[in-house]
Amino acid sequence: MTPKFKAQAGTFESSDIMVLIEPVAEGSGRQVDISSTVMLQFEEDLKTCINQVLDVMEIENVHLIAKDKGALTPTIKARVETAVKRSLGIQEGTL
Amino acid sequence: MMTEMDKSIEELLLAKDRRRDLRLQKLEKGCITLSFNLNIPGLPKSNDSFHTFFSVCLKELKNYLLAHRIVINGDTIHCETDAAGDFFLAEVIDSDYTAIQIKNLCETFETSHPVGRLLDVDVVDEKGEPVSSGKAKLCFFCNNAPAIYCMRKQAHDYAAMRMKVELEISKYQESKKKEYVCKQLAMLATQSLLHEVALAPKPGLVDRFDEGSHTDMDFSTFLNSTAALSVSFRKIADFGYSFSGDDIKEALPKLRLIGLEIESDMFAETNGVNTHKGAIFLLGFSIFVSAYLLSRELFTNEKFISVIQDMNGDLVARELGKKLYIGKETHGEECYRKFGNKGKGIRGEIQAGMPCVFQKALPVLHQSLDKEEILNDRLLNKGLTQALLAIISENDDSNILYRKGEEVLQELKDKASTCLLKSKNKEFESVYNDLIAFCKEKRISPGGSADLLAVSYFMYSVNRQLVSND
Repeated sequence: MTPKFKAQAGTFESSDIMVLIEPVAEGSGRQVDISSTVMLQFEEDLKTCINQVLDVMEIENVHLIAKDKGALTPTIKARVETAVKRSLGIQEGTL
Repeated sequence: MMTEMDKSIEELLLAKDRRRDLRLQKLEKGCITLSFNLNIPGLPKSNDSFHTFFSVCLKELKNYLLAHRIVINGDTIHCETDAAGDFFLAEVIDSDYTAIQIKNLCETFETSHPVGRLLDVDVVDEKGEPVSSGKAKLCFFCNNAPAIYCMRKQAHDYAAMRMKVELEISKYQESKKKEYVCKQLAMLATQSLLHEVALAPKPGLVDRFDEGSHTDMDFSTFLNSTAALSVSFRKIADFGYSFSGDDIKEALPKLRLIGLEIESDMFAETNGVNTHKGAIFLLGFSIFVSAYLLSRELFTNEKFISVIQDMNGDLVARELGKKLYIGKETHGEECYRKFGNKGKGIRGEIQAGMPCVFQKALPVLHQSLDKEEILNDRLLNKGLTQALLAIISENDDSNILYRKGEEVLQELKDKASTCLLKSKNKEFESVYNDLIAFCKEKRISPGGSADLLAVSYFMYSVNRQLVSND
């Protein structure tokens, strides 16, 4: 599936993550950008975690921006999932 | 199907969403927002103990902000407990500080707080950007790696982390309790001396209008003396609260030392007149033992009496039966030699567990004051007068015995008993005036009873204010 709308989920509260999704053209692939206010050494962990969610949801073409405030794995997964659903138009919410 | 964990996380995230929405509402007005929450690892994010701790710290934070003239808009305060824990959010009213300066001050608040590592004050600027100092906080649990590192690595066991959090919180609450109890004890002791001397009219004693049978001291001498004593009461309370020796008698030398210091302070303020020597002795013990028992949550009057007796043992034989100082015999020693058991004085009273206080004065005070919410001058005057009469009618005041002899002491005790019997009677005023005139004429001053009255009111206040009745 390919996201159709701009969408976001999450907050800037501590121990949370803000996930923004921008639709891209079919065939342009995945682009995951991370800005963590905390530690760069977890960038790869964060990317792996986000990619796992995208794999499960079968999202191949997307630009995802994550601003991390120290979220734990279950939070990251939940926020990414919500953002994707919103971008697909299957869940109500911000943007 | 959703697992329990998923559900908790969903609730947590929804709570965070609501917090963000609240912040956004405030942001529309273009102001800096300040929020406060606790860093609690694991779930639940709040419980009774966390909530109480949060409330205590929030009050401290508000005072800190006020002291720094960072003004929060009271009308916009949002404060609630949800799935994400206890949360406070408010708008900062136009101040001289920038968001970064406010953040720095709040970090100072956190770092200078004894359990600041559990506190999280966040500042969001006018544009909605969270202000960060860029400093990585160390992990609360291991204090070794940055907190974020341990979080991501799930380096520590949640149960162990929560246990540590709870321990730190209870240690902090305990220190707050100590601060409160010791402050109260020092204050109540000072109050008891002030109310005793202010009480008027009194037989033979200094009061707010009269010097009684005295020529060398008046009301102001007592106020000065009380002020001198008041500054050291806290020291005794702290000592009693923290005393951890196996045998409570081990506390005696230090307690005496503090007592001697206070005595010097008193004499310096009164130009060498003895206003409160007896009160220092009695209140000193009473503050110490009250603090000792309150810290262990063991306070009852019965327990108090038994600890006072344990501490003092056979005080009369030990201190009046043999000479403590080489030189002239003291009044107390002479009185004991001449009158035996009747002349045991204040040492006898304390050795017996202060019967004048607990058996005579306290029942009177309970009866006249318990039902009253606020103890005003009129109520205190009535209650304390009754209590004083109850004490005089029972107390073998060694000062009177020494100066006036057995007969006069007995006459005084009888007159006080008569007053007490007629206390609810029309004749009371006339018999009480008779007692006052008797003391003035014979130049009697029941100073020992006045000291016991102060202690009685102190013990009454401790029971009333510091002991929970469940």
